[in-house]
Amino acid sequence: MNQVTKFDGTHEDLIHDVAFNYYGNRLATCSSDQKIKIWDYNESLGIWESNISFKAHSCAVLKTSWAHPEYGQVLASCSFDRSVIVWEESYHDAVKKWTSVATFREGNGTVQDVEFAPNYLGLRLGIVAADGLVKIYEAMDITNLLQWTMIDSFPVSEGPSKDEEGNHCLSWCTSRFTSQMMVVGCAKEHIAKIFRQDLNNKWQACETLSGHGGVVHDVSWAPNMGRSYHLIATACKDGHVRIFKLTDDTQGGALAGGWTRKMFNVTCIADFADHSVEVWRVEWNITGTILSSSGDDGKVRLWKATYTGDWKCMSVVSAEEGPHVFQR
Amino acid sequence: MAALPLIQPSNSAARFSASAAKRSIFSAPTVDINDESTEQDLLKEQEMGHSSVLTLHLDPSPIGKGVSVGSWTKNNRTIGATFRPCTNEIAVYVAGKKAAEEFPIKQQSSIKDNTVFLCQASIPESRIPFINQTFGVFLNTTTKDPYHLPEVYRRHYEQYYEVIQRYLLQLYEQSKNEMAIVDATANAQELELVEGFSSIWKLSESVFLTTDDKKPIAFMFSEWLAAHDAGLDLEVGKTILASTERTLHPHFWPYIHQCLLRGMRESVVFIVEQTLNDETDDKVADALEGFLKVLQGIPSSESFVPDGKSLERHKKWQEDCEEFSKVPQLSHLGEDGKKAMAILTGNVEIILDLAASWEEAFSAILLYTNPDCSRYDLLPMLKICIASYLQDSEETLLDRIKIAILEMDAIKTLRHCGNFHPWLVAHLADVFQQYGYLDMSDLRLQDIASIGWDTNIRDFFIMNHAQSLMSNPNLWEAISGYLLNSGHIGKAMLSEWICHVPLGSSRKAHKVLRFCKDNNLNDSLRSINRVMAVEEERRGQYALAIQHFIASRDNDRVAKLTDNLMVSYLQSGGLDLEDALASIPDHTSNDHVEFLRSYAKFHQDYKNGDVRNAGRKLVDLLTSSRAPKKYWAVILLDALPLLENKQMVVFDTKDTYEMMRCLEEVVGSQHKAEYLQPLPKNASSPTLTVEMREQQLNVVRLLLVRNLARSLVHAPRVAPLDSDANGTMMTD
Repeated sequence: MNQVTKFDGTHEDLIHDVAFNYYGNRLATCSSDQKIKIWDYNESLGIWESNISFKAHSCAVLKTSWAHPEYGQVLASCSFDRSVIVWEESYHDAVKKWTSVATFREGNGTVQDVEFAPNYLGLRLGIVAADGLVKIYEAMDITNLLQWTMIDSFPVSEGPSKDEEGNHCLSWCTSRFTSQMMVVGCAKEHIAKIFRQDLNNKWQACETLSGHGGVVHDVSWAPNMGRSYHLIATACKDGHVRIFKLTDDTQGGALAGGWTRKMFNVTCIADFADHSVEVWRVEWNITGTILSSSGDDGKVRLWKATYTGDWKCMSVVSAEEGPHVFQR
Repeated sequence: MAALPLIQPSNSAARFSASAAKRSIFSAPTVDINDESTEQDLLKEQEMGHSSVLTLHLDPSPIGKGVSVGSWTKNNRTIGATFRPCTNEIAVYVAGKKAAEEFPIKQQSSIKDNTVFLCQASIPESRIPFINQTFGVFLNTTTKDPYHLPEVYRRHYEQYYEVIQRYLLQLYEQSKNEMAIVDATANAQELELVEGFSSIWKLSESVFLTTDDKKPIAFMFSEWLAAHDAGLDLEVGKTILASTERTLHPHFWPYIHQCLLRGMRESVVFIVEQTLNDETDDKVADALEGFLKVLQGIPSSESFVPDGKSLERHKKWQEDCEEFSKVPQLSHLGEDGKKAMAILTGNVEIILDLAASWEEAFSAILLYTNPDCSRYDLLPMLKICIASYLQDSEETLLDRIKIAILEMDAIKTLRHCGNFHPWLVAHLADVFQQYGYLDMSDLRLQDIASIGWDTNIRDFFIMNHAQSLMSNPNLWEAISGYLLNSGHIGKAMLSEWICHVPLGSSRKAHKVLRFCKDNNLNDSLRSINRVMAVEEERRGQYALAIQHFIASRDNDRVAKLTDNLMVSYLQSGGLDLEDALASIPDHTSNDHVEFLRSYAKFHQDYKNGDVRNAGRKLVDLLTSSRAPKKYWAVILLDALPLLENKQMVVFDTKDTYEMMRCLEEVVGSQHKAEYLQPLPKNASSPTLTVEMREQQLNVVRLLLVRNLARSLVHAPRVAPLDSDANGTMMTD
């Protein structure tokens, strides 16, 4: 692992999120300075160049998510200002410009996570706010992104869900061979839940990923890649990174074709306390084979499975000062 | 003197160990197959594995000097990371945990907080040709059966070693010109790595894969040792030869001993011959003569001809050695001469005492005690050597790999190679699988399979290797080829990953598309085509966009695009439809495109004065359902000049009836407003009401009625499309 390049994000406040586009040749950074900046990769020079910077929200921009390129250059952002905005790159007199094509105002709290659904579902956006409501919006006509409809909304937990301390997070299952599913981190309950649609297309909380000793800060559903099981990673306030394996529950009736709340057997196959302090983010690579986790120890850890399914830390990137060694 | 090996291993090969510096995240432990003989190994590996996790420190450190991580994170800061699709690179940045609005006082941030670092396990440029060449060899061997056509297989398979050697030579050349190399350290690391490849590959080949069963392993091992272990300094031999009183040279006997231990018969015979020729002391010369005679009988691959008498000959030679060891004249060669004879008589104690490494001792014991030993029976001798030379703490990864190979334990070999480099383990696993060493019916492998993972060992390592190449998107063809050849999971990975490959130029895009098409990656093909279509549409290249949408089977998007084209054509009149559609191949079968094409041809015929053909096409558009109903009104309006043609009745009775039916279907429909919408606007009244539009069609209705009367009088005139019948000329 080597440091290949770096660039100055030029934000006037802390960055909250960095998101690559589908090809990895574009980056969006968002910050507490209320701006989104887009960076393009200059392949011949091997550097990242600033493309555009624009004020996106009236408060800190917390997350961004790129849509699949078949919908054009489309980005969604969520903010402390309780809104989600969908942006589209357009040309005006040969000048590139990011235009806000839709704004969803969420009444009851910061929008904490935003993620486009896998593209086979159409142009759909899942969001979750501090009020514990997951909402799914869809662009009804993908050639005209001005029209969005909220097609679903469901609470992550029962009862009053506003949680001052914790945050909610979500991640879509990208497999096209199952019904639509997502995993949602349920702040105050210290668990993550799998939600999926029942036979009436109503989203229901199904399996629970338990065993967390604190708020689940982040969840990530691994791309399935034809495997017979699913993997979900969680980042927790208790300093642990956990990997859950979901295998078909042959006893639960799933194979008989009926809808059941228990479609999967959930097993925690890895539980790492290496960060020892709060872990904030987990993310899988696109083949679902490498997991990154990052936390308050100032370290990014990369995890990978051995042939027998034993997960091991392969590499660490540290923000602390240390010897610079060229590694191959 | 023995011929110098083609490639002399550098000193680095001898001190080679699995230092953290040359491993990537992909080469760290990737296999962990338990078997009873390696429990201790596993414990050792776990200990080592824990300490060998690589840590990259960001430069400059976002935390800075003298600041504790704890105090840094208290100020709303943490570290964040995200994967770059396609390359597995990670972007690392200082992340604000909470929004600035949650803090009453605005916090200060600096450039240190705003730097985004990109980190990856990059591949050195010099290795790219090696990767591509070995990928070619992989493709040639992976589908072949070593037992079916062994010679063909061998021809392809041997190229692995040839490519390794070529790359090694290139690296040696580069290291000679180190001054000219910007990154000499990187080159040295690469050299170490490839020397490791070369050494492990050749030893594996000798033990596991050789088809040359007639050649005993003892000779193959000593040949391997000569080529891949830099324990013997050939320069010392040259110095000894250049000296005058050779037997008194301090390095004479140690060099002779080492050559004997390594089975370098020719070298030692040459030196002793030269020494004998120049020797002035008769007694010493006598002793050397006797010694030389014995040396000439040292077992070699040439002396072990398969005539069934090799062992007999060897026994006889050993007796000669024993005899010579006892003759008094040997004392003239001193203690060192006796030690040399002890080596030749297979005195294990002396061999272990004199050998510089366990490999040297193993080579000598094998050669002088049991030269005909089968490769399945090496373990007892190996254990003696390892116990004498290797303490647990000193055992390097390369040692462990070599020992596993000599133990003929394919699984253990792969496990250790998995810690060495993904290239090596992937290709070895592929070849092992073909030779049947990774047969899933093996009980140990069944244990692993029962854990519930969906892939076999070989596929797992091939996928791993493919992923390790992803940091360089220019290697997409090799990456795709490996994934394609690693089972259904590999293919699923490929199907997703290839969609993320930046297409860049249209040449590359078409290569990627061709690859997907050739390998039935239909989902990827659709996805890539759809993205390309959107991009072409954005650039105004509608014909290309239509082609890609047709390929991605998005008929709705094709319809939308053809509608856009039609509307532009109808509104501006300046658009040349035929030109716009020219780049779409004629064989493209799509109703929307066919309609546009026929409509454009109708206009072209009319413009060219070919009224007859224009009329045929117009009727065909309406009657063959080729034209969507929303364009019927437009087509009927287009019929006006043909209906008004005074020289010829263009439409016969039947066609006129059809056109009248179409007209009535349009104006009588509940979707009338929609159907009349495409009618061209009038320059004087840019906004037309439905009534005003219908008014335009009333003119058509009138002319149709008149044409009906004319056709009844002058029938028939419009022939079917394929006929060349002429229209009826008016006689009045």
